[in-house]
Amino acid sequence: MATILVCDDDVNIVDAISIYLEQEGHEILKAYDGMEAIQMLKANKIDLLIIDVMMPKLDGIHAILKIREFSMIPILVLSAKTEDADKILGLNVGADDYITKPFNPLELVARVRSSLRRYTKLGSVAQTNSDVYVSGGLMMNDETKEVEVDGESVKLTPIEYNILLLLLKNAGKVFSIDQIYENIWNEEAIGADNTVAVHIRHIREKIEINPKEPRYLKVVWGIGYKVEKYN
Amino acid sequence: MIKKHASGKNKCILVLIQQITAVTMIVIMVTLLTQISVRSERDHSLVFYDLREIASDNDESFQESSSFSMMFSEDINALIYYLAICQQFEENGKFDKNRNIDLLSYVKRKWVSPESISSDGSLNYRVGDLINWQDVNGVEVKTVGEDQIDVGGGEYIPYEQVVERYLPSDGISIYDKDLVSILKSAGMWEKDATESMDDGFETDGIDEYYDQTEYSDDVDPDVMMQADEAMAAAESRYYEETEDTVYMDEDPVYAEEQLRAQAIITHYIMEAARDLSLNYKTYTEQNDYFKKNKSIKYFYAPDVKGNNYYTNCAGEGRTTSDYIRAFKKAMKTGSGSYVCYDLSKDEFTTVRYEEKDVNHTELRRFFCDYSYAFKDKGVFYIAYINSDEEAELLDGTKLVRTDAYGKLENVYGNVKPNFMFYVVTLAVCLALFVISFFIWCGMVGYRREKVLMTEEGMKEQDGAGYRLIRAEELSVFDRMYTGIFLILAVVVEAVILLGMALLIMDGYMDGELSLLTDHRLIRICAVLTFLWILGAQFFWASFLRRVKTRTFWKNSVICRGFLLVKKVAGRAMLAFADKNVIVNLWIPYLVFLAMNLLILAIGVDFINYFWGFVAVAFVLDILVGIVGQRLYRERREVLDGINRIADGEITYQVDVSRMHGQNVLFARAVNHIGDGIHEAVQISMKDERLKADLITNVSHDIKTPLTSIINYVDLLKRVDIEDEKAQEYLRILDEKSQRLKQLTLDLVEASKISSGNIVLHFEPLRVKDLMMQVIGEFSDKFEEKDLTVIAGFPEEPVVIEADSRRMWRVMENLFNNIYKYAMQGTRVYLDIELKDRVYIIVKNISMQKLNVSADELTERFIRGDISRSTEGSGLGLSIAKSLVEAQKGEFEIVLDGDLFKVIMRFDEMTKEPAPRTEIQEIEVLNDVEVIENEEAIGE
Repeated sequence: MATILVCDDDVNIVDAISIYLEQEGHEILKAYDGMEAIQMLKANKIDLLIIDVMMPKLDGIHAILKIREFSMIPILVLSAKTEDADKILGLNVGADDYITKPFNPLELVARVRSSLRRYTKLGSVAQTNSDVYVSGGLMMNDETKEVEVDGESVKLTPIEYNILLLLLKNAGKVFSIDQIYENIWNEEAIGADNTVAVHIRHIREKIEINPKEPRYLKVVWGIGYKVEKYN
Repeated sequence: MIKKHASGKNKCILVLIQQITAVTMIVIMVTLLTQISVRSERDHSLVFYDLREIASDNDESFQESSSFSMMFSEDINALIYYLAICQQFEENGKFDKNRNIDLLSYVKRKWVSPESISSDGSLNYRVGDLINWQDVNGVEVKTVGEDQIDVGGGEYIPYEQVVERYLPSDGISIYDKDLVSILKSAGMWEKDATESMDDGFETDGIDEYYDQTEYSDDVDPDVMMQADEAMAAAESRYYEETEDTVYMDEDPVYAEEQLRAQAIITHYIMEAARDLSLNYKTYTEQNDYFKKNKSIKYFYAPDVKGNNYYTNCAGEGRTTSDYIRAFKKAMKTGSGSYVCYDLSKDEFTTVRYEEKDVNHTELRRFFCDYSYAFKDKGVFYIAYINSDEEAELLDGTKLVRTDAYGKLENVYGNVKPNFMFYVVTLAVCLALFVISFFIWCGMVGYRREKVLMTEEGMKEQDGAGYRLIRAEELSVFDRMYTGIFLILAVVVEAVILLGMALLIMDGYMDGELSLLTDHRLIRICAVLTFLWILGAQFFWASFLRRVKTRTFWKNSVICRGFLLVKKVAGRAMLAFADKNVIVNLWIPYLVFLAMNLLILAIGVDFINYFWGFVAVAFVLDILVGIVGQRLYRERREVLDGINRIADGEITYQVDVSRMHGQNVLFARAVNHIGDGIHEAVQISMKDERLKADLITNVSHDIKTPLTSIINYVDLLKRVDIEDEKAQEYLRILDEKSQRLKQLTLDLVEASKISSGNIVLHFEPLRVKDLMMQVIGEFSDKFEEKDLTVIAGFPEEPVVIEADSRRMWRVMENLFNNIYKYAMQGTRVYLDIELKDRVYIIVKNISMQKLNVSADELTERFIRGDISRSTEGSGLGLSIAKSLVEAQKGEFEIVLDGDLFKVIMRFDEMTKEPAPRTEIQEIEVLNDVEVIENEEAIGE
């Protein structure tokens, strides 16, 4: 289906990823350092890049910076560095996703799929309908009551739908539990109730690849919830 | 060896042995002393038994003993003298004061026989008169007669008058007699009679008289001299009175001779009077002894044929020959000692007596001294009677033996047979005393060691459970000043000893006169000895303890004084030992003082300007005060710097440029300390960071292979494996690789937190909301374990300032913990309380018994069940605690049985948090840039 370049200095990891992705039907190219990856990108038509950070010759971060000079393909960073700062750095230099080692192979596959979808389909979707709300791969059509994540539809209960819609409409804004409660149930919050929290978790489990590291519906601990705003 | 048995019981026994033996020894010694000495009733002198004689084991009887013969000899001697006196004074066995003594024959009695002096009796004097004349000088002899001297009124007359009345018994005054012819007829008139008149006079018993020291005062030379002077005065007066009147007409030669004769006679009278008065005293003293003596019987007859005799044998109407017969018979049949002297034959007959060391020559000498008194026709018997038969024969009574002889014989009968027993007992007692004393000395000061296994006890094998007492264990008495102790000891012991000595001496000297009988003396001596020994043991033990604990010298007043002086001197030395003290303190002080005094002294010279000088001094003193004030302020600054550094402001530096004098040194030293601490802290922090970096890097290196492991395990799972065992192995591999992954992540986190290598974003946090969110997140997991959350929240919003994601991590760890370890079906309590701070309390019931302490639970890698078989790194609680503390909170775990309780405390934030906006995220991004730069610099 798609041609994916996997770049890691560890041959075994590259091979393992290749096996998983080949099972999905992708064509796999392999590189073992940053320089090699750039050369292969220039030489071949490649739809997605999975790249490690710590590599000989040219490390992942610098490779991404150079790649971004000539290509806008989706890039997934695969790193042993788990710090927030590392993640933020990786995303800032132009990566689309950041996966920490050791990773769950299924998650990797899911993320690859998600990125590809966004790149191939959604990237071209024009937002014409006023009842359609989008943030990154998350799309809600309030007219048809459809919810799609990276092009795949998700089924939500009415309350879950309303909560997600409220947050997506105001993407980037943090709603406290009480605010959400008052908006959805239209009655005063009495407090000491975890109904909202439970619902949020259920939504997360449905729309997120890894609910513990959500990309769209995020928990702001001790304050409230929000949907991350992506372009 | 000795110390091994130093128990209280043994010491007590030894002390008792000493006391018993000492008392026994004293009793024996006093007994012997009182028993073997006898006080003579005749002259009150002490008679001792010869110890050698008692000690010897011969079988000789009492009468064969030297003690007896000595006493008997003395009695014989005394008796002979006594008999001589008796012949002077007695008439029919009684004292007769009217008995006439012929002066001239008396004076010459020792040189010529009385018969050779032809005396007409004109110079006979009555015995009583002569004795009384001597007594005029003050010696009272009242027994002489009722009418002492017939001068009327019973009063003593002046001496001159007595001389005038030297009346012989015929009543004719010597001045009216032809003394010259009397003397001539008596053959006592010679040309130089006056010159030789002293020669012919000798007292009878003068030797004995002087021996009796008790009466020596009465023969004071002064008295004699007085008599001589008085006589001389009489003579001179006679010359004055008579020269002109009586003899003027007569032959002057005759008159002179007469005068000389008078002087001679007067002298004779005086001498005779003195001699007789002495004899009279002896007579009265010994009269009772001899007359009533039951042991000694004597008989003397001046003429065997006559019936005049002297004896103490009873028997009215017995004639001389009766007595002689009785004695002769007694000598043959009796068992006593006898001496018979037949003067006509000059022959001694002795029974038993002569067998001892007294021979006849000696006996004869006794008689020779008084030969004038014993007529050649007389016979003398003396007997020491020893049986009733003899007593019956001689005295007509039974034998009574209560006198000194009786005592001596008694001793001889009792002491002599037992003497060896006494000696042996004494020796044994002495030996026992000495042995027990030395053993006891060794034991004193040791006491039982309470803990036998102490190091000391082990070392001191010799002591075997007993150790020397320590100085601090001494009693109050033992700690008393040594000087006082010694004085006390000497005084107490000396008083007891002196008392005992006085008692013994008293009992000794006075004999029967003493209040103490022998038995009472022994008893008192025993008690005093016991007391003395008791005191001696007490003091000696104290002395030994002092010496053994080395406090004898230390506790003395001298030593204490010495130490005091040493201490004071030491302090003074210390004060001046540091030269800086002299330079910095004493010299400025002295200069200051001298300056003041100098200014004032000069001021006194210029008295008119005195107050001016005072003002100058005052100003200078104020300046000195200001300098002192400034130095004090600077010192405060240095102190402030020290406190700041101590409180953690390690980069603080004291401004040295503002300091003066010694404060500069202080300030520099303080800055130096600050620098040192700062450096040490820097190094330590750097080390921590390096450690965290190392762990991070290592974990990165672990993660790469771990990724492969996880991936291939997963791939393997997709391969169709039939073998169940292989599947089981695969499952374990999967589980452990996942666990390893978690462990690596936690490890990095824990190390970062503990090294302070994390960046915290503080923001207002609504605790209630946080809890809701957390409960929501864990609702499925808790349902799975059937755990019910009971939330106890206050109504008002509770806001704290914290890093929200870190707080989530904390709560996540706690709830995961609960999920893993809480007992299924129980309730989980989640309380928020507002007190002085915000309390977040999480309680649950543990599934397993908690066998670790609360503190240990927050240590890294500790889990409630200890075994590490289940999932979890063991870092959860540790991370939670570290994170809470990093956010200025407190984290406490309380274990109460199976109740597991976590209490977190944060400061409350009063301000309601502003609604969260997008800006937050941008801030986070900016932070990242900052961190990047910092790291670049760090490298």
